[in-house]
Order: sequence, then C-alpha cells, then structure tokens
Amino acid sequence: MLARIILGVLLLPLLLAAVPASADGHQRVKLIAHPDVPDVECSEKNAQRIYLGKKTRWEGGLRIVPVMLRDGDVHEAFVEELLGRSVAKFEIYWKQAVFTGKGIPPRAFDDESELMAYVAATPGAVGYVSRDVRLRGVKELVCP
Amino acid sequence: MNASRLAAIAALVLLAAPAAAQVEDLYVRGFVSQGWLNSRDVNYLVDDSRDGSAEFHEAAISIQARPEERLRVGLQFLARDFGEVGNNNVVIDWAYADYRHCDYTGFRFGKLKVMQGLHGQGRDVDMLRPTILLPQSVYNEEHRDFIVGMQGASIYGNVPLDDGGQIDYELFGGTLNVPDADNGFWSDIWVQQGKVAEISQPDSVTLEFLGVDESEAKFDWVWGGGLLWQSPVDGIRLGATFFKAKFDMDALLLFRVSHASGTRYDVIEPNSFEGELGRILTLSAEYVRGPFTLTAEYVEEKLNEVVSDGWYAQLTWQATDALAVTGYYSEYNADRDDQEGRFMVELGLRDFFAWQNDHCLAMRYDISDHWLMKIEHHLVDGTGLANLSRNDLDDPVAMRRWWAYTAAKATFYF
Repeated sequence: MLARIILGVLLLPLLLAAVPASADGHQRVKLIAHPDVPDVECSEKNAQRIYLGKKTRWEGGLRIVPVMLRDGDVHEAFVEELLGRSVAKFEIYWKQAVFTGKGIPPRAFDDESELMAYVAATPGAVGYVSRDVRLRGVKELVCP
Repeated sequence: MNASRLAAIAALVLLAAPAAAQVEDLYVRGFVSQGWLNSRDVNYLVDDSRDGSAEFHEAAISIQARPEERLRVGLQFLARDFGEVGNNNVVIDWAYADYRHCDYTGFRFGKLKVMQGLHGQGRDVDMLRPTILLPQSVYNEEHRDFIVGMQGASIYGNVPLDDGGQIDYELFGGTLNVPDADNGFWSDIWVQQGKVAEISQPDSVTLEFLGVDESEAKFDWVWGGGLLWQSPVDGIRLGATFFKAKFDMDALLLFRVSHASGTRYDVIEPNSFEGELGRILTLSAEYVRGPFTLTAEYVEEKLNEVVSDGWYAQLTWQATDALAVTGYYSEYNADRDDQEGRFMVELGLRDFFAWQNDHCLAMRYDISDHWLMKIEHHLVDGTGLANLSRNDLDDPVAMRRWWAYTAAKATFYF
C-alpha cells in the first residue's frame, strides 16, 4: 500500500508538470527596507522565509519587521513572483498560523506610500512597492 | 462556560491587555461555522445523522500579542457542537507562551496544538481546507475531541538547508485531557471489550453486552514530534510526524447472563483498560502546481498490539479565485493484519466493519474575503470508522456495506 502511495506521489507531479507555473522573476515589484537594515544578499528564498515568519532576525540580530500591502496587483505580483505561491495559499498559511497560535501575519497597509512611510520610520522593517515608485527614506534590496 | 461569559472574558482581555502590558501587535481574529450532515444507512459521526443533523457547529475567538520582542502569548476560545460532542461548551482550545530564541530554536509552554500530518493542527478551522471533513482514514473525527491539544511544552524551529530547501521541526511532551470519556474512540473500545466478553464464555452461559456506565479515561503522558521539509523544488512539501501516548480507562460494563438452566440476571462488571498508543506515525506529501494541489498522506496507528492504517490521495483544482473542486480517495483498515475482517466476524459483527474506503467529491466557494460555503458527497465501502455504539448492530438494514453521506457548511470569519 505504501508503495502505491509513493508511486502515485512520484508520478502525479510529472502529469501536473504540464501546467504552467507562475512567471519567474520580480520585474513588477522591488523590495525596500529601513536604511539600518544591513546589506544582505536578497534572494527569493530569504523573502519567502521572512514573509512566512521563518526568518526573524537580520544579520547582526536586528529584528525583522515585514510589512505588506492588504491587496491589489502589486501585492499579488509580490506574493506570486517572490514568494512563489498564490495569494489564496499565502492567506491560508497565515490563517492557519493565527488560528493555531503559531504566529501573527505581517502588518498590512492600504497603499504604498503608507507602507513606505512605515518602513522608513521602523528599524528592521522590510516591505515592497511597485518598480516605478520613487523611494523616500528607504533603501532598495536588490535581488540578483 | 456560556457564550456571554466567553464574550465577557474576551472583552476583558481586549481592554486590559494593551494597558497592562503595553503590548505591541495585539491581534484578534474569529470565525463561526455552521454545517449540516446527512447519512444513508449508517449513523456516522453524530447519533442521528441518518435523519440529518445540524449539530455541526464551531466558533472561536483567537487573541495574540507580543509583549516583548522575542515573546508571543496567545489563547483561543473554542465552542463546538458535533452531535453529542462539545455541546457548545466553551473551552480553551490553545493557550501558550512562545519564546523565539532564534530562527533555529523556540520554546512553547501551555496548551499546544498537537502536530499531526499536514492538517492536524488546523482541523478545528474550517476555512483552512477545501473540504468539510478531512479524509477520515488519517484524521479520524472520533479522535478530535481529545487528540488535537495537549498541555506541556515543545521546542521548535526552522533550519535552512542552503540549496536543499528548509526544514521545520517540533518536539513536544506533556499530557492530554479527555473531555468526555463516553464518546467516540472511548465508547468503541468498551463495545469491543463487551463483544469479546460475549464470545469468551463457556457454552453453558450466554452473555449479552447491554452497555457502559461511569466511563472514565485519562492520559498518563504523551510525546512526539515532526519534521516538515520544504523542498527546493517549488511547491513540494514532505513531512513525517510521530505521536506516542499511554492512557487508562475505567467503566462499569452491563451484561445480561443467561444459564442453560434458564436462569437469567443482569450484572454490572467493573472493568479497566490500559492503552498504549505505541505510535501514530503520519507521512505526508504535497505538490502545488498552478491551480492544482495534490496531497497524499499515510497513517499508522498502533493501539496495544493492533496496528490500524489508512491513507488518502487528494487533488484540488482552484478553478477560479472563488471556486475550488476537490476529489479524494481514502482507505482505512482497522487491523492491518486482518483486512478481510475475520475478527469482526468472530465477534458476531460483519466483515466490512474492518475497513472503510471513502470516495469524496467536494466544492468550496469563497463568496467574499469573510464568508465561504462548501458542499461534499461521500460514497463509502465499509464501516470501519463508523462508531459501533451509534448504530444498531443487529439491524441488517442499519449497517450496509455500501453507504453514503453528504455534508454542507458555511463559515464566516474575520
């Protein structure tokens, strides 16, 4: 029985591989951070760990304060392109964390200027805005 | 505790916490679910499901705060009604302090959710899954009353593996509460004990098991842990969780004794049962690709010398932002070494009491960000997970090998 399950698990991903995944890259959004945040290598993996509450400290020990937009195209692009999952899956992840006591989701803002002002004023904060937004009081984390 | 008392407690916590502790990020969320369950031929999960039952309700309020940078505290009040289980009594579902020393290591103390498979910790929360009932072969509702939360401590963390993905781990230990030793898992053990006593008598005496009274159960200890590996391949998660426990049960078993001479009388027999859950081992795999999520899990449960097992494979298609369609096949064997049900026949029951194979088709529709509805239908072969005490075992019409049930549920949350 276990062998059948393992076989099924191994084969079905091959079938599903025909389904296109979301586009790679992160052309539509840029990651921003408080100027005190150390210059670290920005990567999708780090972004995922930060926004899923797995990575909580910058190099040097400063607490990471992730923030996000409540909804909209920029939020959708960030979640799908940098976090590699659908907005629905991302929301379910945090609902599970909340209702099992495993964590509190990142603070959410209604618009990019509010979010950027918070990041500029909060040591350790990290967020994202659309690529064409002019930055004020924050620095960009450049992902290779 | 009633609903008004719950509201008063929640209000007090909300009002007092920020002022008293100057907490940051006080976070309050809640949900209410109402369902309906109807089965054909077998009473399943609730006593009168063949007549349709709306005793299928959950409500919770969750409160979390971070009084210090590394410390998070929280609790959740839960009220649920599922047939004779819960009856909307408000209980503390979880309540603990979480000290996150670093990303690799954190500690939790209090009443914790027990890690089992991919969905064990969230099984009280309807909106976390595409179906109403999780596959019963792996997530048996009859266990949910006592197995999802434990009092004790755990150590947990997240370990990045460079190019090898990342691993979440947790180890826990403590004890479990048994809110009602008359229901589900417990009553089924007594019914089986009674049936074993019936067939263990000499030929000159006939014993008829009549029922159970003053049932008590308590856990001495539980411990366990789990690993969840997020692979470097997008969308693939693999996991393994382990759980071990020891419990004691006491009850009065009621029998009618008939001698060959014609003498008949009723007796009350004090009875004890020591149980060792040698293991509940769950292996999990999930693959997400575009709108499809494929999940498969296998569970093995050793109770004293008997090993039961089960598995399921489930495919969910997120057809639109609002609509998800799910199908799964789930298989359960009450005794891995007796899949044909020979022991059940020896007990005077039918062979199909030894297995339960469930074919489910489900739909979930998210009406808004705060409201969703689900409906699902199950076609089932066997009654291995249908509680014996809910059904008239002597009625040939009441327990059929092939049967069905339907569930519908609406959930509101904020």
